[in-house]
Amino acid sequence: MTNRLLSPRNALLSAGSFVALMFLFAVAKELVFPAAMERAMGVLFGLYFVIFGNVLPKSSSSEGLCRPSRRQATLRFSGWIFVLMGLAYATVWIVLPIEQASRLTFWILLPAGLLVLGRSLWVFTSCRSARQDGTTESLAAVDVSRR
Amino acid sequence: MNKVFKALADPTRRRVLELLRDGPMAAGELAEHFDVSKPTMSAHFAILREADLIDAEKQGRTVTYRLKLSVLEDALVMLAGAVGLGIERKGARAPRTNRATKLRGHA
Repeated sequence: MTNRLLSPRNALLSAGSFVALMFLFAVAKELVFPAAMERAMGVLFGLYFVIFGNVLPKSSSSEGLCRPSRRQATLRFSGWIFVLMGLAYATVWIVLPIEQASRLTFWILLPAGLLVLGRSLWVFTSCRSARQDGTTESLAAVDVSRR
Repeated sequence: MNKVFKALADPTRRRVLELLRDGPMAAGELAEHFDVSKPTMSAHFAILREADLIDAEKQGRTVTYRLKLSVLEDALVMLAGAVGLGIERKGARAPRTNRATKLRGHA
């Protein structure tokens, strides 16, 4: 089921429907219930992160140049961060007053983004330096000896 | 979701998922951790694959399994471990008994 969710066609469809939904909310916000629509947009944005983060670790495959175990660990880490961030984001928009919620949004997105980016960069650079040092066989040997 | 719960209901399958957290492993390597026959182990792998919790890749004669858990499924496995539903502690391993040692014991 998740494989189907992660297919390029379905990814485009879900991204398109998300943008369309946000656009509808933005229009509705201008016309009626501005506060409620702004709150709903915040919750929807948070839920989008939850759904994306939840399926992210399933997308891992052994293809590619990096060590499979490290790729798997990074995708799991990023998935958990996105899910927790999305839950925090949605909760903030449900519970707090709108002014406080919009201020807090930045402080939820920033650390989560930095954590995921930092971890991904660390994996990328360590894989690149390992590739420069040796062959994929030596990478696999390191991977096995790690266990 | 029913298939996922069925797959997580068994302690051996949950232990397989725990082992795969460290990275992809070959079927034989995984089977070494359990005191069960190869057909039983294959049945466990089949149930986990059916639930889409693991992925198999065949390279020559070796089948390598890798974890394919969503965050929700990961949380369910951790919850099952936390409440002690039959998952052994990390590093702990049931002693393997084979026919030879059994026979020696009876001699």
